Amino acid sequence: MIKEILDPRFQRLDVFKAQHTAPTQALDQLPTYEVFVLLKEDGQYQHEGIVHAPDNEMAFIFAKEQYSRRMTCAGIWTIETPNIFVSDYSENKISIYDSVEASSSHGSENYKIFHMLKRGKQHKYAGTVKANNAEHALQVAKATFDISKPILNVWVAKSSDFYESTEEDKQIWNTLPEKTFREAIDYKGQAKIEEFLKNKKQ
Amino acid sequence: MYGGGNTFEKIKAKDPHEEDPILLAAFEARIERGEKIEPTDWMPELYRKQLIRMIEQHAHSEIIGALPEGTWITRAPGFKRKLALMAKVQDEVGHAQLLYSAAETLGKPREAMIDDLLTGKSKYSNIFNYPAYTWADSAFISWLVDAGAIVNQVANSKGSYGPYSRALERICIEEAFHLKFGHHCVIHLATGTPTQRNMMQEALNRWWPPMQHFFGPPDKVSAHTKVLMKWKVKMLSNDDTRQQWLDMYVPKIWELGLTLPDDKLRKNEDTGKWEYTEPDWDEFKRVINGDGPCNAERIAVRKTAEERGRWVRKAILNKEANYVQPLA
Amino acid sequence: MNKDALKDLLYKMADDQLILGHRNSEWIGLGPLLEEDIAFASMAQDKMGQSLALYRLLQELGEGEPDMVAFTRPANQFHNSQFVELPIGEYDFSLVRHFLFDTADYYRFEMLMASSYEPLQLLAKKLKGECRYHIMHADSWIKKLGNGSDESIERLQKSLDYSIPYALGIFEESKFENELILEYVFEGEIKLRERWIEHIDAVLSKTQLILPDLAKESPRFGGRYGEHTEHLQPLLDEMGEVIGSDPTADW
Repeated sequence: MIKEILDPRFQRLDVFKAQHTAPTQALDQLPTYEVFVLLKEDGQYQHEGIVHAPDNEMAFIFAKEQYSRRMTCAGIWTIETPNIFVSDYSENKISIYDSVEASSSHGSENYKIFHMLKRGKQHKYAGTVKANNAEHALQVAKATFDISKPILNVWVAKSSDFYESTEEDKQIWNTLPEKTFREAIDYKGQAKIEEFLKNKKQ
Repeated sequence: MYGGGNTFEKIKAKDPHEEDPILLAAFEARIERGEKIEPTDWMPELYRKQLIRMIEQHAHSEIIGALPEGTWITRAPGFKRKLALMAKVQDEVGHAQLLYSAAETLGKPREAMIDDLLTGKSKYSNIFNYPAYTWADSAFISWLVDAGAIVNQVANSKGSYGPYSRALERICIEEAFHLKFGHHCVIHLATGTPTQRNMMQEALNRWWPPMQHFFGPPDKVSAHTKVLMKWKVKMLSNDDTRQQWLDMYVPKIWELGLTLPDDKLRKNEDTGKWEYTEPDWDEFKRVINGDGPCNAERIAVRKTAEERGRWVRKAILNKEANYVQPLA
Repeated sequence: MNKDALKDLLYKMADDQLILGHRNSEWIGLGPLLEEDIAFASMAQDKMGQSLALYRLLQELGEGEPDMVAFTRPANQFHNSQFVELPIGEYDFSLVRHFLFDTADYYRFEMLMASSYEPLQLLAKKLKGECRYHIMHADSWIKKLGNGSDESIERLQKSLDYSIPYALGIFEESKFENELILEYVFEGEIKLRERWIEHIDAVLSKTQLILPDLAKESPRFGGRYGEHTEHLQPLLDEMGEVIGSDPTADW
């Protein structure tokens, strides 16, 4: 039984009428989009997580506040999950590229390549190659990128499948560094404690 | 935020002995080496099921936790507090999103998890079934409940499942803000006017029992929990978490001249352990099973929110889109 | 520069942001989708931050300390438009209000980037990006739901019809309108309204929603002169409950 409701917001809701929600099956299940964030201008795009969204444009809108509401941000890419081709995971010290044949013949379509260097870490953007398909992109990547360190897992996706923030969009992150109310550093209380202790002694 | 508690009851899954011994040995060797397990790796059924349950309960605790914390959102005193509380409760919703995502990589869709929350099939942290009567209760939650969650989450972030660890690392950074903000509020109340100070003391008295419950009853070391510890699913025992929290925060509460409603509470300098009056575990069980002061309200509010949002989600659903498990 | 005119402009802007930021924060934890809950919460914080920045400009002009000004004034001293004080209702109304208000807000700041009052000009430049995200968000949602299901289209149309008279109230001219224009502080509400119509019309034309004939609507004026609906005072009582219990205390 619902007793006294303390939150005025909930008092305004008609929660007493709350229905028993029947399992919704697949009804509400929006597809997922993988989100890549560029923290700083001279950094590297990195996978940060997913959002549920109806399309790529909304995925970007949602990703902006879920994955870049602190510190700095210089860009976001989103792509629907099934559009990424995923390699196997190799064992430590063995590179996934060891079983790939390098190719120096380029194709006509741009593919973005993401590398995972350590289990538990995020995939990072390695660069773009021109290829005919995802498998070919992997072969071109082998011939193109520095793969001196073992790469444990590779993601490949067509550049045209991404939603990419534009140069002009960058201003939406302008005021981020000023939102210090979201940071621990803005809440220093030691001086007040010391003053309190000093007054107590007197 | 999340405590210990009811997460590690036995669940129905294939016994590890029935798994393929070669695959199991490789899996265990990987964990032993300190490597993370990623979503497409082979894993025992028990590992998958236990993780799904743990992560979804954690996610539910975030989304339900946003409700008691939000109680004072429209009444926060002044710009600085209002902005911070808005950002803090928003973070809890964000944490739920991150955690549901991590659980989704194990094969359970988000909608299914939310359904299980609403039908009562899946639990959330017991502490959110208590009411936040005053602004000081909100300060207590921000500082001390979040502190309890941090002890647990820092430990779990060193666990073996990659997506859960990554989500927790992100969450822990945000929790640092919650903790400092909460402490800042408590300091201001404790060193403020007699009314403010009294308000804070009353909140502490109210929240002490549920806070002790938060960490869960002493663990029974069963074969089941042993295997979960070996697989780095369960990282700390309930008692270890409670001891860590007591050690870090009781001195800080006392420092402000506030008291705690337990005469036996003290640190035994010989053992290095805190001694306390055993909390009422019957009450804990009652509340977990639905009979707390706010269980009905929490679920009713959550259901109302889901129902009111249904037409939005329905309208934006692309029927051709194909839901697959997220990658990492 | 006419200080009273300037203060009047700053007050109406600050009060709009404060009240709408407060209203929109009521959705935190109750949004229709986790991701949207987060996005809407951020924009409510942006509004709260923008109002604080504007109250600080007022403080420099000799007005009171922002917390006191924002949290302890009675309703009849508020200059916000009536639109922003209306209860949040269902998500269709909150979203339509967000679209209509934030579009006006975006162009207001854009116009103020040329203001002769430098502190406001600098603030406008700083906030441009923040406001850009707000209209990206609003436009995307309106397009999505305005072409979504029968239910979503019907709901949005109803909320739009209901909102338009209030939204037109945003552009109520203050008694200092001429001074502001003549001194190049702000180009004025009429110009702002033109740009606002152009934008919302362009967005709505990509949906199945119909913009009511604005010439036939009677705007809900009064807010800029302290006349409010019955919803504002309860909102202010709630907002000031804790701080008002002891305004001298440090919270």
